[in-house]
Amino acid sequence: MKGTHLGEFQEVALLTILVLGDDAYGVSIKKEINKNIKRSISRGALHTALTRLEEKGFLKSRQGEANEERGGRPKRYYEVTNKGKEALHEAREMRDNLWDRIPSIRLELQYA
Amino acid sequence: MPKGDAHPSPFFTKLFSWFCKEEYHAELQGDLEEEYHENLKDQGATIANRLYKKEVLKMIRPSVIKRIKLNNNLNFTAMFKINAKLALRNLLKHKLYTIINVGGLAISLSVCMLILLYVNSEISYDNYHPNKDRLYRLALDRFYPDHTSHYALTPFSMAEQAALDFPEVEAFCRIFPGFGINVTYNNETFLENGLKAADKNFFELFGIKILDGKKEEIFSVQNAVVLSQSTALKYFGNKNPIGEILKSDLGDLIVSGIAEDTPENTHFKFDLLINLESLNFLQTNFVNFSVHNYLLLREGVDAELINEKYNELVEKYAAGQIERNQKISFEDFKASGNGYNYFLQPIQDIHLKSQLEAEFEANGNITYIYIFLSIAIFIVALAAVNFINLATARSTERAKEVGIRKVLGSEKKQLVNQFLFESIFVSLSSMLIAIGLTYIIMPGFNGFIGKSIVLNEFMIIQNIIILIAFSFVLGVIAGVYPAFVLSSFQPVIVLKGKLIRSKNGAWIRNGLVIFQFFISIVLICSTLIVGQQMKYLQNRDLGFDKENLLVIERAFGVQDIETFKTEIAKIPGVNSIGGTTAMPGSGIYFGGSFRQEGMNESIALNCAVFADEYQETMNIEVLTGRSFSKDFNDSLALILNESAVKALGITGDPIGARITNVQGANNPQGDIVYQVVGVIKDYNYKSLHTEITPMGIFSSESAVGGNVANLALRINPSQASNIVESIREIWRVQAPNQTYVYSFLDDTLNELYETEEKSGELFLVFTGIAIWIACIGLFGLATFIIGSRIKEIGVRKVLGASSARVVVLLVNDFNKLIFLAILLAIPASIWVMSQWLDSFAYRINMTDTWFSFLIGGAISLMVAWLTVSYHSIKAARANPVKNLRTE
Repeated sequence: MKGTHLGEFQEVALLTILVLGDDAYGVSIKKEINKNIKRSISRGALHTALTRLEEKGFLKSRQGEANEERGGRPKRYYEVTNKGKEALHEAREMRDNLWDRIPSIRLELQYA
Repeated sequence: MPKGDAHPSPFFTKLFSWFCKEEYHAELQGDLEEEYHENLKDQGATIANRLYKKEVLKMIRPSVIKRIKLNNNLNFTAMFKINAKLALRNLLKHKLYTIINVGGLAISLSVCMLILLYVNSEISYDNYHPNKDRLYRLALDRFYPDHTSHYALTPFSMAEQAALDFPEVEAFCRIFPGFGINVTYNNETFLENGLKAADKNFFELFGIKILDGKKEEIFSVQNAVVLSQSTALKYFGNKNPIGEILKSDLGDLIVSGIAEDTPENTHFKFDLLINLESLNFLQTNFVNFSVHNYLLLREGVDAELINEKYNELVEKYAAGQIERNQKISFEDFKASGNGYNYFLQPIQDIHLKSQLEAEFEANGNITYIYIFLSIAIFIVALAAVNFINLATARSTERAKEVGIRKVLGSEKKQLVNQFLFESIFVSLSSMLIAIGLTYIIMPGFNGFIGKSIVLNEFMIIQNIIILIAFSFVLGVIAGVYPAFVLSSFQPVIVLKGKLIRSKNGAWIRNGLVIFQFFISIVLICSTLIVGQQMKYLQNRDLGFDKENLLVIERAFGVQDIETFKTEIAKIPGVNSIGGTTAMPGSGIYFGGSFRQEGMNESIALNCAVFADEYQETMNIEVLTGRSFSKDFNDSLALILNESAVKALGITGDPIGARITNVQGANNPQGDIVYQVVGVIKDYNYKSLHTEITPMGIFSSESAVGGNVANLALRINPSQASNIVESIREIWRVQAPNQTYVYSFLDDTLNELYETEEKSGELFLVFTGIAIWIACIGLFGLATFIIGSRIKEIGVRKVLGASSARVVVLLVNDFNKLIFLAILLAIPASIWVMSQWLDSFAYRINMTDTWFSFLIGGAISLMVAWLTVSYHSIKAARANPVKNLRTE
């Protein structure tokens, strides 16, 4: 289980990378996440998630171009692997399954 | 876009590249910089840089940080284990050295901790008041024509007027030092000596907490009293005391509040605090000293400014009163050498830096704090020196070990590590033992210094880290020299059996020994001089006989003093009885203004009242004339001491001289003229810290006489306890509801010098420790030096030198060092001790102390000889064949 488990933040990261498509590298991923989940994450925290995902084989990365703003250092672009996509589907299915089993009445907000 | 000249913080960039894993560095640094430039555009350089730094700091996480690189060694933990094992083996193998080293260090560290705790508690005085940085006490330098006195007690209206006149003063509070009163509740009477009176805002200015009752209404009624927690407990137990009534000498007191017990680190204490307004003898006054005045200055006001302004205030308000009292103009008054210099003391300085007359209680002394701190540093320094010396001393023994290790492939670095490890190990374990020792000693130490320091309060993470870091550093400092010396031996030379004699190391070792003995000798001499001074004080002729003198205090409590005296006189063993208002040492004297009839200038005398027979009981010497007696009407008679005769400018025969006691203008009966009937020899009526000042003595028959507070009884010492008990019986009958308080004069006087006595004892202990530690060091050094001369000794013996001759030769080496230390130590101790002696008005001369230096030098030489002789004799008696055979 440990090898394939997808943490909440990792899931967000994977989805964000898919949203960004070809332009998914450190800064853009961070920006997108901060925009969507209204939580300020640091580049370091993101790095931890990305390396973990890469270790699990959910991500692969390739070196990109450099520019002056980066002090001549190359970007690294991330891409979700098939295994990663499978894991996302699995996570969603599991969740949908649970959602389906909840009688809708119980989901209504109650103000006691 | 300010591109090109804006950079993210170079330090953080470097920091990041230092800790970041190489494989990620390019990507992450790139990302960080890109973000930085984006922020730069949107929010400016400052914010961008701050965000950058934050990001870098947040990179400190396991997935980013480099793995710790382990030296070039294959296995760090294995190395550590080996080092630990070797250190332990070595320590266990040389048990004597280990005990000396660890024991010496642990004891000195523990002493150091105790001293620091003591110093910490001394400097924490009055640090808890809400506006402690702006709170001051008013004090006074009072210049008299012939001397200057410094008072903590100042006139009643001084602070009040300042608060009205000076806009810089925010608030003021007065504390009246109080007196003993009898307090009765439920038919139980206690004598309360901890009574103080204060203004309404006392609890706003001082940080003492109110536990029960309303802060604003504490003194809303005139006869309100605030009790300290323990006093409330004494009277009321678990009952709610608020609103209860206590009967007292001052009338009924209504309990309006309970305050916490005055914290120990306060320069005053109270058990009962009453409303200052209820003491109606305190009236507007700018001249007579009656209360402690406290001022709260506004934010940012310099106390100097207020000091200046006080000069004007004296001219404006006090001058008139002085002129009316003295009947001379204020200008003349000043011209004759009188003057007032009021100044503010920061409240936190009072405990350590203020030694005025009429302080609330005996204060500490900043000199002692400095002395103790330097002793703490010295003792640890001594122990550290030993560490170094012992380690080098053992180098001869360990030279072979080093040689073998090097041959087998040890690098120098590994050897250095090993030796450093050993020394850090020793210092850390000493620190542990020291902490344990401190825990054991603490209760005794607390009892000795009369404080209640709670050790656990100091056992916080921060202090523990400091202690560990300190012992680590100590270990490194002590270990680094031996480590480098030992590890740089040439294996070939060492293994061939040649002895190592590092010439350049000699001056360091000798220097260290001189340093150790220098400190020990300074301490020995200082201890001896302190002892000499204390003995001088105790044996000094005070001008009266303090032995076998029983004092009955609060004698005004009896219904009729004459009947009481007659009853007491019947008790066997009571030789004579005399009464006075003020006993020497702790007595309170009142001020009176006097001048010779026909003169303009008056001077202030400290005054007391003597009843008949007091002078005889005390054995105070009468120089001329007579003392008060039953046979005369003494209501207008005055006795002066020698100083007063001089101060009043009486030139001829003082007997019969007419002296005017100048009264204030508000005193209707006007001045009274007294006639001098006798002159007594100057006797020390205060402590020996202050000089004898002019004194005038009234008879108990005079207008200021009345019932005297103290009865002095000259008694037969063997019957002392019977006498005390018999008087208790008489007291019970004649002074119902009054507390019976008695004391012995010599005890009371000894208490005056308690600080000095205690410091003297502490000195003695520290000196012992210092000498002991120095000896350990010398012992180690002797091992080393003699070890390296073993062949020389062998050759000398073969050529015919006797054992005795060899011993003398060896001991002589050390004599030189000790003599040098003595030469350095004498001027140092003279300097330190004359500073200390300056705090006494009556002191021994430095020239009288030459004997102390002689003893100090002799002791250190003897100790050195004893220490060295063990090794020298062993070496001298050894069979030369054994020593010479190795080659």
